[in-house]
Amino acid sequence: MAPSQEGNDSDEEIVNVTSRKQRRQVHFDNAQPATKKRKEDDQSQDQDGRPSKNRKKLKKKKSQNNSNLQGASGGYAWEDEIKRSWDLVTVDDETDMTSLVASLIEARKKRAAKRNITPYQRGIIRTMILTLDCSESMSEKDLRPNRHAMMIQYAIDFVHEFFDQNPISQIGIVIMRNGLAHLVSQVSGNPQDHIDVLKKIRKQEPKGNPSLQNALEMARGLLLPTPSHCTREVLIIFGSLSSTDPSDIHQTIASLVDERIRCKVIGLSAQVAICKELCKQTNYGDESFYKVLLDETHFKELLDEAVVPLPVNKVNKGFTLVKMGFPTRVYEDTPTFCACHSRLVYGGYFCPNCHSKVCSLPTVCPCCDLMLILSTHLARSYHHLMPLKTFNEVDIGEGTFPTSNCFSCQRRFPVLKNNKTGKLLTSSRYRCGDCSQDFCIDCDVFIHEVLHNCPGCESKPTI
Amino acid sequence: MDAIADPNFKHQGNKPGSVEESPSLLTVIVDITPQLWTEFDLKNGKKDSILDVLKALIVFLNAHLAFNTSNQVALIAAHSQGIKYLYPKNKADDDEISSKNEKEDRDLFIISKNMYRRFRNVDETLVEELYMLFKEEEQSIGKVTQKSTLAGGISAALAYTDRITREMETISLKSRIMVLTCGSDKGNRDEVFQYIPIMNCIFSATKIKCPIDVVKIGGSKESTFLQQTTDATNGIYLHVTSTDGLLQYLSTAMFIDPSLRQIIVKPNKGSVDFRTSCYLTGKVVAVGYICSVCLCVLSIIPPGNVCPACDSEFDERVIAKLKKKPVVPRLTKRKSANHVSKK
Repeated sequence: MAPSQEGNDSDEEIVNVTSRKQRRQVHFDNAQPATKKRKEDDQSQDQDGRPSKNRKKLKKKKSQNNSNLQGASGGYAWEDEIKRSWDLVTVDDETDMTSLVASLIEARKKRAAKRNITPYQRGIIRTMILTLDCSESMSEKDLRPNRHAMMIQYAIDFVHEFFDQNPISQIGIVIMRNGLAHLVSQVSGNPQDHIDVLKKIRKQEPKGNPSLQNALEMARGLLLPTPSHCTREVLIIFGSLSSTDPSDIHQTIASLVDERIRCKVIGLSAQVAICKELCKQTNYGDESFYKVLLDETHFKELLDEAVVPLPVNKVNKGFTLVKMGFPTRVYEDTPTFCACHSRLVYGGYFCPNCHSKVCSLPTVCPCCDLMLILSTHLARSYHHLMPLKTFNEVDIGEGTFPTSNCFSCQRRFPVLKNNKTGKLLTSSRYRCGDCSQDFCIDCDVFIHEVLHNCPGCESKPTI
Repeated sequence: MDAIADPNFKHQGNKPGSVEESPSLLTVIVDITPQLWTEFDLKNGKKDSILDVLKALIVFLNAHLAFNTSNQVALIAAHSQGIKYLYPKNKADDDEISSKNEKEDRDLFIISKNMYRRFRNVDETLVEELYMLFKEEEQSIGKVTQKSTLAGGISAALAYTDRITREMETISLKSRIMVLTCGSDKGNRDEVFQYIPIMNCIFSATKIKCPIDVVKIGGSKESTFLQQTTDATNGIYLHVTSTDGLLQYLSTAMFIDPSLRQIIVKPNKGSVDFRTSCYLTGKVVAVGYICSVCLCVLSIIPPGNVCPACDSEFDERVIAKLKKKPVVPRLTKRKSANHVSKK
């Protein structure tokens, strides 16, 4: 599955590679007569007495009906010659393979750098119930080493990433196992607790059937006490194709809609109707919240999507003020007990409301229930609200550019040329619209995914 | 310096049983805005203190190179009109051969021909580029500078670090960033515009596990954002009042290996100012209100129940709940009042 997928992608991306295009056309010209010949062979072998002309017409009609099954050359896809992605790329004596590969890699990275940059109002303070399928179907080995192990590993990464990007949000973890829903990790804002629990689950064997309804009911119960300024979300990773439910799941879905809980499902095997319905109902008719993964990297991408906070929409607006405390940090020569874990620690933070000591932030003060955060935690979410503009690829033009090195990392821009024509394949330069500095593709990805700052704009002396 | 290249020292490096340290990359961002340094000079009654700093810095970079043969350095200057890589040099400039001829009669006398090659490579380029940069600065007198370019320098340094670590994946290169800046007396006048960029730098530095050390020369002892930077990235904050013996400071405080930082007492064991100020009143906030949409901090409930920053209207019921004051039972009050009147 994976190689053919990639092959298709690269088809779309690099049509302008001339040598390849020619080769492809030649390839098809060869293929067409071959398939026709085969058809005729088939007919001659089938001896049912009908005149061959009629038969041909029938065949035509049939092929019209099934036009979606037809391959590029007019015959059925399975009648075509096998096209391997590596056959498409040919190397003449003159063509430089490395430059072609380099431009392919760039094209792939470029896709990764594309993001939505519309500044939305987003629900920054989130509460999410991560629901994991730990039923028997998770022991299948279509993901390596098996679905269960991979899901847990990715879930750990997800928790890291989630708290990194949403420091004032909370997560709870529920697993579906043996027809029941188990709450394995309470709703809390401490990533380490969740990760410890996930590591424990890794050792468990997946078992029994999953029950979507039980899990949803439990998630609903967990999300009920969350205040109105938090978003309520459920993220389900669902590996099986069925759900064993005690009663009508549609009622549960209706109650989720009432509670304004939004569900997102990542399917591991095939599309399941009830999941689709669930996502559609709880997201105000938007079906894009149900996705089935294509391969392992796609799985990762889907989880990364869930890290970004959801835009606030009209129905689900939570414009409120939240009371929070900004504690001061203290250093002590002698250790004192903290109010949160009752452990002896040096220094910590004093709640401005009740002066009890907590050892880590962000947290809820165990004494007076005030949310305690640092201003840095707020700053961590700013890039969701004010996303950085995407850089535009510089046109090839005449092949002369103002700079030959990347502005931020000083890497020399590669010169990727088609050796035959001497034309540049890509300019490899990505320009910021505001400061007109050029960046290389790696910096473009780094700047947009990690840094969220344009080094060029920041080094301008004027605002 | 030349002594290090002496063959007599060679056998010491290859002592049997000595642990091979992993190489590291040191990226230095130096703020050479002339205005700041002139202010510093005037205050201290000294002249050309920036030269002292740069001299110390060159020795410091050489020392870093001397630790390990695979160590690398990079130097970025944040000047009044932008940022510039002083080392590694922009390769395109190599073509200008004309500059090479001039090189002879410039201040290259401080670099002897017999110097260890790796030192010489760095030193020559640095001196050369600095010379060019100061010439440029001379011409840009009178141009407007509204904010410091330090954040841009740190951003570029992070991008450079990211690239080098990716290229050197096989040898597990460690990296750190050092910021050398001069404090001005005017305080945090331009720091306001830097808050978000510096914060973003902090987060990406923690992500790529690259500590940021800060050396601040002169000015006020505190530097809110830079202190937060070192605190969050496990770096070292060092405030130096004068440039005398700067090299000593640099070599004692700035060569602590990141893995040893848990054990060694660092110079920045002070408190860091994490306070936030209110968007409306500008006062420091201990307990405040936060708009759930734009995350702006308010010390009071804004008039009209509308967020002053993003114009989103707040839910009235929630506001009413926040405005509710704790109820004090009247009975106790009256009793105490009676007591007072009796007496």
